[in-house]
Amino acid sequence: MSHKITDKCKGCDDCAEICPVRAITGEMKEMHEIDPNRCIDCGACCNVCEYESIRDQFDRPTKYTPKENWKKPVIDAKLCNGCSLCVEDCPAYALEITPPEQPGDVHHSSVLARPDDCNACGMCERRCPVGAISMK
Amino acid sequence: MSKYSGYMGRVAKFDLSTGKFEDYPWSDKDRELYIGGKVMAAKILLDNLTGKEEALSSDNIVVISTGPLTGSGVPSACRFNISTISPVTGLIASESCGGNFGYHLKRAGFDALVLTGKCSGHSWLEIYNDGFVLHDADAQGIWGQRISDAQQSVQDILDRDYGCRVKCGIMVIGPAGENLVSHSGIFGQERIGCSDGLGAVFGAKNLKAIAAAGNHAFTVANPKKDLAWNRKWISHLREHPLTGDILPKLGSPAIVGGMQDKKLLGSGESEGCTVGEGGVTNVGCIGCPVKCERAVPVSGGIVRNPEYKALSRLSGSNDTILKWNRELDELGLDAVFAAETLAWAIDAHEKGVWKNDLSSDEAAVSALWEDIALRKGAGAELAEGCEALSKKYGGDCCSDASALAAYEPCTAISRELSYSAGNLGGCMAFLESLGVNASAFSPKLQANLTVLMQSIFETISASGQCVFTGYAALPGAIFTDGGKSAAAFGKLLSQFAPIIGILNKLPELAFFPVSAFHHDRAMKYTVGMSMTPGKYIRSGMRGCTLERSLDALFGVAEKEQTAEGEDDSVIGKLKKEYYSARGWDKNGVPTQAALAKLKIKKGAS
Repeated sequence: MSHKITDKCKGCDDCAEICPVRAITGEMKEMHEIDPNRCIDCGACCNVCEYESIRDQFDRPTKYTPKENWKKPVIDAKLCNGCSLCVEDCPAYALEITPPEQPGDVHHSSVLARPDDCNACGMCERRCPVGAISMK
Repeated sequence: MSKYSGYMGRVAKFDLSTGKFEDYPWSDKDRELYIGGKVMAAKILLDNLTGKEEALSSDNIVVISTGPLTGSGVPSACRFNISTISPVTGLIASESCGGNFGYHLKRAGFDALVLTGKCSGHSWLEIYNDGFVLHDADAQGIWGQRISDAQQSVQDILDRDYGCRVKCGIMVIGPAGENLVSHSGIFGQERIGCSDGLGAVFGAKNLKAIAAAGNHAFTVANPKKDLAWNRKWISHLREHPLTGDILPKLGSPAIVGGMQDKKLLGSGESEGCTVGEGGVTNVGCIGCPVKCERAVPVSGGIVRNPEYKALSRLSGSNDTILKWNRELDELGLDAVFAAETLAWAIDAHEKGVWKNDLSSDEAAVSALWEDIALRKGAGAELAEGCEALSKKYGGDCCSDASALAAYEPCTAISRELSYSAGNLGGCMAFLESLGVNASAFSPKLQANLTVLMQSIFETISASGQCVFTGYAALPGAIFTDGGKSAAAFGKLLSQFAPIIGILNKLPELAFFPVSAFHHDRAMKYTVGMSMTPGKYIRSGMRGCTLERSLDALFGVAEKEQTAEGEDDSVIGKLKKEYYSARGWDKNGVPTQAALAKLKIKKGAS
């Protein structure tokens, strides 16, 4: 089950604009719709819905968060082994695996390379297999 | 759906002739018996082929399969497998690949993809969840493109059609595969599956590329234990000299130098580039903390350093090797095959066997790679490989049709055993590559050791992991002290010869966890499948015998008949012991008793 828009929707189109996989469609001022075949359950739409009209994949209500309060991924470089699953899953292309700081070192780590692109969806935190990422 | 985590619970069967998709029946019982990857593929091929199919015909079937750990977050688990009948050997071809294709096939909701039939025209296949679309590769200008151009074209089309940058896995063939060159490969990102003409099988099916994407989520059986185990295992891999230092710095060519010292290498003189020198960094597959590939800055961009097999065959300056390797990759050609064939041809000219004007000059060789891929001029003949050429013109060919895996069989006896009695011939994973000189042991121990190693590595591969994680279960000193520990380890193994034999007969006796062997518990915590080291070994044995059953269907017994006088030779004795340890008859065909013991049968489990 994917995210779903309820009839609280006012058709402001903010969700469609932020959806990284173009899963949300609808005319302005009309109720929008999420294509369950496209939705990746990232939850980016929930953050921008001022009317809190979106329910998540578990049918729970979600909360609007003003952009200035969006959480960002904080990566524990010691725990991170640079496996890049977070990079592969980041729908906003905000993360990157960086080369080691010292030439010759072989330990890589994920970093938030493009913080402005991050949509605070938290997929990276949920995906990290070693718990090295926390949204703060 | 499956009761197990890790699996997506569905197998897709797609008929390229009709464009129709259906679910292929695959039960939890099948998952328990065959795990996934190459073993699952062998079972599907065995159930659907009769032994009469031609490799390059529409009757051949391709199975692209993942393991339950693929994409799960368990270290080094991103692998997927491609199995089919090889146009080179006429037997099973099975290649484990890294990159991100397997990951995205699972995101599309499938553990495996079974391809039957043949596209009516040059095509590429788009998979998005349940949606299967065949695109016209000619109209879109993709047919004929080199590897990276084709990958970019497919990505661009998807991005355009979906209106956003699509996260997907793409595998493609190059011009060599399109032209049915015998050792052409399949490429996913920069990872290669070149074994035994997989690219030609795709080419014969008119299939240029497959792109997979979707929105399915990965699940884990026991998230708490899975996370703790991943942390523990990754720490172990980072601390182990092989996976924490040697492979990340030198990649797989790290073993080339050692192999040269021990005269195990067929040829070759370069280990390639080392991380830290000239801006070289290590990179790798998704989900892998080892990162054994190296990115090398050269004029015009960054290229990947060749793998050890390519380095064992290509000879020249570092720049020349990097250039040739890149060219071969872009054409979709196997470097081992191409280099061996060219070497044979030049040698044949010098010996007067086949008059040709081929040269080992750098530019001429570069042009020749292209001629082979496009089947132009002398390249048309070289495209068939040195075995075919030696049959046509005479002269010796050192390898069989399957390009060898860099090891010199005269000094690596377990390699010789694998070449002559194994299912795949040219695969790696033997103690000799680490300097553990098993040739000093008795044939019985050597055969039993090979059976045990193959079985463990078979399950590692079937579960979706890289076999390098298997090497990390061995004592680290083997890799660091110039062979002293390797020699001592070899002696120690010979003391345990009877135990290894018993373990192969009754692997279930190993029901207790072994601290350095993490694999069984990953299956438990991540997948939720009951697993012990013994069950793990048994699964691998089932896989090897299953693949052999398929080979038997395609006449392996006739193809591998023992040569006159071979019975009394070292390899003859080894083969006998190996077949006996596996429960195969004297022709290498699994007996009914062995099949029953391993619960292998045709059809539903």
